[in-house]
Amino acid sequence: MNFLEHNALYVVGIISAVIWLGLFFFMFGMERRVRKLENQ
Amino acid sequence: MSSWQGVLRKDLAIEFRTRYGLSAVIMFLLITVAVILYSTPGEQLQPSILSALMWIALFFGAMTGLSRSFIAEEERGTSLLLRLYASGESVFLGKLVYNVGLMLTLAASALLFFEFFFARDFHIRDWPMFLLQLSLGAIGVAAVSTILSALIGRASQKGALLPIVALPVLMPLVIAATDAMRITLEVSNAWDGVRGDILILVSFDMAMVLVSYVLFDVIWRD
Amino acid sequence: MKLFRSNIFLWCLGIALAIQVYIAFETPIGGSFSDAKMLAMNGVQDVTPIKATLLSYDPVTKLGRFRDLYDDTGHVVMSDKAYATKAAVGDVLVMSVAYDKQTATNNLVDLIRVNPMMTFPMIQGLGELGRNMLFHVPMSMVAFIAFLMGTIYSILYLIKKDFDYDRRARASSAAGLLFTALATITGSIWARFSWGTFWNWDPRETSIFILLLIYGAYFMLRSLLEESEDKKARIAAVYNIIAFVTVPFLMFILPRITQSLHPGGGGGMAGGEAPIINLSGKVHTDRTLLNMHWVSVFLFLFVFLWLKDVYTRILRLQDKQTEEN
Repeated sequence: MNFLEHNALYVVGIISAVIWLGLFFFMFGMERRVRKLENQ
Repeated sequence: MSSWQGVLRKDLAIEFRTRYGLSAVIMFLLITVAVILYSTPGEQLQPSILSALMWIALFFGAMTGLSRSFIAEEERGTSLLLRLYASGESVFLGKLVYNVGLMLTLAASALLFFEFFFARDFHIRDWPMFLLQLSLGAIGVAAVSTILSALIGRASQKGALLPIVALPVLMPLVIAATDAMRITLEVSNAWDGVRGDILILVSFDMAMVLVSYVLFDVIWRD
Repeated sequence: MKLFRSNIFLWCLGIALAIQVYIAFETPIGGSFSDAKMLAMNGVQDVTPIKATLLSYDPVTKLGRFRDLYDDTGHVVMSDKAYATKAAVGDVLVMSVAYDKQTATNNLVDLIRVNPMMTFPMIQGLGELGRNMLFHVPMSMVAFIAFLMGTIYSILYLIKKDFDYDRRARASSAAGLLFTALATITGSIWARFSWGTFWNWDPRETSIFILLLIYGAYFMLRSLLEESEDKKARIAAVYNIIAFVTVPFLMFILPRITQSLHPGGGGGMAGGEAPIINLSGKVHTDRTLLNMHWVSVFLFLFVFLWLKDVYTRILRLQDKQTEEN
């Protein structure tokens, strides 16, 4: 845990960033799939 | 005006004949109190624990007793008749008043049991505030379980759904009431401490009664 | 919405989000001389980043005279000459400073930035983690907006009896639930580093937990009902409206009257009023951070609308498929 204590900002920051950007790319994939289905 | 009183009178007559609601609820309360007393022999119970216990007992007692109001109508198959004879408004008002009455009786008996069985630890220091939070909490629980049991009554499978659906909705009310009860058990002049909780209770009750009054018609008519 | 059918808009949104994430972690945090002194005196940390304007520099004593953001002047010993040559008089410096308790002097440890575009304030007890305010707080705000929209769609469904409103209500509430869950996750990781444990049963944590339960019950109720689609939608819509009545209590009222570790709690453990939404209607947050916070809210609102839109379309496709079968 010592490593985490010293790098708190990076842990919290990277998780937040990954959540948002991950959500974005997940959404993008969904959007493409839905579009494909809608055009069928 | 007389219509909702008719619904209320009908429910009261059924209750006096079968004594189902009240006896189930009081059994539930007694068992809860007995389990608590059995598991904490000779221990000093703090006001925070006592208030939480009392509201847990009241909440689950209400779920066993008050859920009957609409679910029993559906099970007996009398809801169709009720729909024919009374308007949605009067059914709602009748059931609400009946449930509030049942819940206040339940709260009063819970208070009695706690005064009797926890005589050593359960000291109410501010009676008016204690009674105020108890009755406001009882009204809120009755209002929420009226509308939600009407909602669950419309579903084909009823059973355990009501507590699952009602517990989270009632949580803000139960939290505020528990906090207020703890304070009235701790200090003799509790108004300053419970003001926020009482405000929450009053506004929650009013919001719930109004919203369920408006929504009841939607659930009730087919 | 038509907006989300355009790829250009979606790429703009993605790039804006990436820039926002970059800004949130790149912008330096700068406190004041009094922050540095207090944190060192209380033994919280020895080295504190401060933001101050260089007024004059004496090369002999290596003493720089600064004015910080509260108009306090202070002296910093800039022992390394290299630091001094990087900045000229009149520059705004963000630097980490060690406050020496014995001699009551500030010693320069590191020069972080000269004339930064913007800085975030030093929030007491949070330090560098204060930047997380740009992610955690907007998430809960957008979750509230999502629940509100879900309720509005439920009301519209009950009035107009159009199934599309039911789908939108479901999608909004699902997105709200997702955002609440994300706010809980980021919040509990944040809590691990600033309060010591992942979960403290702080009033706000309790109320967000109940909120998750309520909307979890909404989706459970929906999946458990074995009724006709019309009846199912009606029951779910009524429950959604009743559930929303509790949301203001859980999100705004309860956390404000009980003792809380979060800012704005009644007990004043974290000090002062809530930073953004409070009873006196004042904003108690630094302008820069607040503006960036609203940018975050705005961007995440679009992410929510997009999420809702995609989920509504999926539900529409599903319903079309069941109709065809």
